[in-house]
Amino acid sequence: MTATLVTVRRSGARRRRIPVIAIVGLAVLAAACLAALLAPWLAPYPPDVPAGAGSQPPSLEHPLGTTTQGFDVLSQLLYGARTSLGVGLAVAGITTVMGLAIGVIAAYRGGWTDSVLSLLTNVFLVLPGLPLIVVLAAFLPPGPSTIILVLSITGWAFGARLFRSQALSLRTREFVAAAETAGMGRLRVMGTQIVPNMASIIAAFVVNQVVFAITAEASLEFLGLGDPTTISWGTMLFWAQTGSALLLGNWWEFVFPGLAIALTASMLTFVNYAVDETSSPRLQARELVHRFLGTGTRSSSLITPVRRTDASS
Amino acid sequence: MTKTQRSGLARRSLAGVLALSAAVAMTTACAPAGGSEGKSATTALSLVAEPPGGMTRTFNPFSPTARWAAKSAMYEPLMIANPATGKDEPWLATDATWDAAGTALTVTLRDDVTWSDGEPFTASDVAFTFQLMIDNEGLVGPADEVLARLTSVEATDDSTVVLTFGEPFAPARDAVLAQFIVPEHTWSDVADPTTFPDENPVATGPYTVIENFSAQMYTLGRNPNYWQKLEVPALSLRSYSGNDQISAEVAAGNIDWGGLVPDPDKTFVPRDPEHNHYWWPQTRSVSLQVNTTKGALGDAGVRRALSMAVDRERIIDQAVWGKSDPANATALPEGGFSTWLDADVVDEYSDAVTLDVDAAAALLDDLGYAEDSDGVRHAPDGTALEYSIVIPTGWSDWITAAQVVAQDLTAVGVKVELQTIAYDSWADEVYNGEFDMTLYGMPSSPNPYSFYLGAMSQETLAPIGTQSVVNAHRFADPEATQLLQDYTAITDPDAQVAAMAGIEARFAELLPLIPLYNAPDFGLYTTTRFDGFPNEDDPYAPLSLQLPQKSLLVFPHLRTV
Amino acid sequence: MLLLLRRLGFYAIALLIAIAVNFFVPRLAPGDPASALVAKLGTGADQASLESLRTAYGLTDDPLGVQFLQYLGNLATGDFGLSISRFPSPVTEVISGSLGWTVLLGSVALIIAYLLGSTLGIVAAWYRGSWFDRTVPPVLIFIGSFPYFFLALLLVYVFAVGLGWFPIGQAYSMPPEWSWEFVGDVLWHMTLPVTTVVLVTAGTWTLNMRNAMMSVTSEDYLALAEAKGLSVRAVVFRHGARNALLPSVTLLGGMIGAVVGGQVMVEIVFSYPGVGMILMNAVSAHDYPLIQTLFLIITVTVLAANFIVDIVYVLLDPRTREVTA
Repeated sequence: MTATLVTVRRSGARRRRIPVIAIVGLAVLAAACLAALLAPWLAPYPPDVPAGAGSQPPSLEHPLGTTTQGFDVLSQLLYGARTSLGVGLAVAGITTVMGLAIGVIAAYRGGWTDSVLSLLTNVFLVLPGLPLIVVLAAFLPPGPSTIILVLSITGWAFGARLFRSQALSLRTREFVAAAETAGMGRLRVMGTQIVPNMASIIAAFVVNQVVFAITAEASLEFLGLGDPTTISWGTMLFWAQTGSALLLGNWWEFVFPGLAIALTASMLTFVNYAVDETSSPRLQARELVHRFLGTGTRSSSLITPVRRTDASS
Repeated sequence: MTKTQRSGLARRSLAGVLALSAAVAMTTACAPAGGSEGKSATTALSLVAEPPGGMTRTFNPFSPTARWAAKSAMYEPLMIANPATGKDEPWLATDATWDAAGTALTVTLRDDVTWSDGEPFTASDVAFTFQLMIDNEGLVGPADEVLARLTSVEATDDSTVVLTFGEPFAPARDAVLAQFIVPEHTWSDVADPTTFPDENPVATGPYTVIENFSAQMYTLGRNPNYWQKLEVPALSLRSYSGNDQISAEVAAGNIDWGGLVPDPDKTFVPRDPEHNHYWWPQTRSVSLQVNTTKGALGDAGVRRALSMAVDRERIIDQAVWGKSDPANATALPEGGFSTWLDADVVDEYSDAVTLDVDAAAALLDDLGYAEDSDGVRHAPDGTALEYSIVIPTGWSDWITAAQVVAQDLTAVGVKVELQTIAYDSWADEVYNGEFDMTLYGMPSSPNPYSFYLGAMSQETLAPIGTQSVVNAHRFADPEATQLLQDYTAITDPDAQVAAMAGIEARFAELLPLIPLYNAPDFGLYTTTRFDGFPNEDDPYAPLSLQLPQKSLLVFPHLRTV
Repeated sequence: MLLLLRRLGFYAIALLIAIAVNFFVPRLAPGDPASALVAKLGTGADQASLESLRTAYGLTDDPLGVQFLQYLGNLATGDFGLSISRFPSPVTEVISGSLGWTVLLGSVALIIAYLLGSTLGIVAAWYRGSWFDRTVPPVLIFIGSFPYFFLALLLVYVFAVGLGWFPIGQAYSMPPEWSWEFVGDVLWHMTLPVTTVVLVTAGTWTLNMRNAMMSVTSEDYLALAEAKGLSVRAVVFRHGARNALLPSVTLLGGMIGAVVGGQVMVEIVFSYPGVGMILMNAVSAHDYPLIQTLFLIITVTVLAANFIVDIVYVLLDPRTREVTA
């Protein structure tokens, strides 16, 4: 029996459609990633060498202006995208993999394994995230690698709980039982039966994590807990603040990195909402709330209602 | 859901929001408007002197983190070394002279000073203070460095104290005179002076009355028994979360006396050109500190080449908005050391600190450090000249300066990479000799002796493996050591100046520290409410609040406008 | 009951792990605050002073494990130590009051954001498909995608520094006292920080409410209700109220946790004297005792809030665990 990719649908009333905003969002994101990858060719100046007089407003020569120290803002923005997006993707990747591994294994194996892994997950869930991030970031050597490490340590638990809930409900499905009866090994069952059926949840989670990581990274670097000699959107804001850009009236130095972060984050969020639009809004609301609050208290009881489309509703 | 039902739902929530907003608006309207800062707004002088974060009610002046108010508005020293005039201003003491042997210092005190609680200030308080510091190791004060040399402290009468040292040590006079004095009648009952919070200090200073105190602000009222006249009735101090907040407050005109605001010609003065002023005298310098135990960096010629490769003007432009000057080869700015600086030495060694990339490259070539195909120079034995320069995170002006240094040195073939690390780690690395390069900020001092002692004397040299704070670059020169030792025996001021010139020349010759730029002492003020601040036209005292004790010189001059 | 005991045990373990992490991580980094601080003082302090200060700071050379046990012992007796950055004030003095400010700012902001966002969400759902629905939620989401500190700084520079309508920061301008004037002062100071938080979070609430409302108004949902014989109004309001209006007990617990644990950025930009700002300063100053105690307080608050939620949940309705399959 083949596994059916299950999509969640409300009882036939609305069809799944991808709103315009999601397409726009994806396009903007693709452009951002492309720009980041091609930064060395696209950037008009090197980002870490003064390229002109300081504090120049946007002009033909410097489309986004120059910083107080004379760096070209556009070039820094492009190079900075590499670091910021890189950190975002790295954190998303690590937390997703960790969350999947721990969550699915806990759900599938059950028993003692589940108890231990769930305890671990819940402890990390309940520890206050931001203070922990701040303390860790302050005492480890500054730099993007530390930020990735710190954000991953504090971010994986949410995914683990989410994926565990999903996997729990999927575990009892017939196709899983059938696969087991057919002699498929546990690992293969998890990998080929359970995980693929969580695709949309996983995708939503990944996107959420990228948003979270980009913003958190910028915040940490703004606080001075990053490495100011690297170039990222967050360090651009750090230097803007240190150089009192706003006080001097150099709004471009401050606004453009912030815009970059906001555009990226909001486009990702739109994509997520569009994809999720067909999920149960109530679940989504609850998830959103927990995401916003950054906590989870109903540790073991959040289960995603998943209904099959080809069954008679 | 029908329209009416939806509208009911909506109306309810809307009403809630509106009600809350109305409540906020109403109470906000009752709040003091505009820039008024509270009841004593027009009579209290607001200044910036507290570190970020919540404040606690502790005024113990001996704490390593003693607050500005304790040292510069409450407790007073015997004399105040005024960097602006280069003289010692008599304060609680009127005179301090060595005896013929140079081992006994007789300090004569003022006789018209009373403590803020009315008790008279006498010599026994002075003797008590020094004894307290000797008995309690954990107390920190300006006299620390000479306590070990003291054999006795005695109050011979109500206005005279005699401090006797084991052997002649002229610099002890400055250390003793800078020491603040605490009252015997309150401190003698304290169980553990090191952990004593001193919440209600009894002191001789101008502002000792704590009118109110909370985590974000406090007000200090005039000492009713102060021995000088004061016009300003109170000081108001707040704690802000960081420099940007402070700059915003300064720009908004809420600060009467502050320190640094970035690029003040653009952000501060134009807002009120008639009243807003800033004054940035240069009394200290910042130098490049290299670990002289690391191969090529131990070579004075290499250090001179490095010195010639750095564009000091560019550092100044970027780190302090162009408002400073390059340091001279003695590392002593004219502004802080006018009596000591020898113009001939400055002239003779000016080449060593002037930008000349070609000469730097040629010198390195001559010394045998050839460039390889990557543009990186190698020592004759093959080691590459590749270093890192470490700066504490958050010290943005130093980070900026270090960036320029790294770029300039890399351009002549000495590859330098900038690293920022947490302050504790930085201190650890530097003081344990594990670093390559860093920056060194000269401590404020009226006399260059201690700076040069730390720069090149055998007395301060500690081998790698032991901690060294003052001589982190681990350098010692026999000739300099001798000159410095000779200096300590001289008590005649003119002879001291002459001897110091020789020390300066030795420093400029060897460049154990490579002077970069003069660090301005940041100070600003606005005369909308108060007047009488020192500035470049009337430099009677430093304006900077970063220099402890010096503000005491300013308070008697301030007037309400 | 057993469940609650198990939860309590779980929280105890979590607390212990939090304390341990917070104790060891700073000490594993090289350097210690005593040497660094004394070094900052310049030439002065010699070895003896340094040793004495290190003892006063509570920094010993015992193995870390032993230090940790000493620390736990001190905790048990209520000795939280002296702050290093504000020596010799006790840590408790530094922290006192800060928790209150954090909760005050966070609660007010949360309530306003919730009400405002939900209202907009209701309107959006009401006029579903209209220009309002198509623009307002996305715009709010976009605004909310800016990092907190970014919006905070913009607000400060435009409204406080530029226009002078609001104070630049802090919680109050006049010495604290119990008077209407002081309350007004506090509210005036709170306006910009609250606005920042509202701007960032309103979008989420809007979308939340909008989607919840849309689920409530779906046709077959009502059809089912009517088929069951319930008045539409009763169904809608009972479920609408539950879904759309009343913050659930879970949310409340989560809110306290989030507020106490997550408000650092806003507090820093506005110099608001909450736990977040003090924690940041403590971290910058490597003030171990202060960091530890702050972290402890934050963790205990979050865990306690969670536990209270657990209790209330059990008391209110043991059946309403969210299990749908």
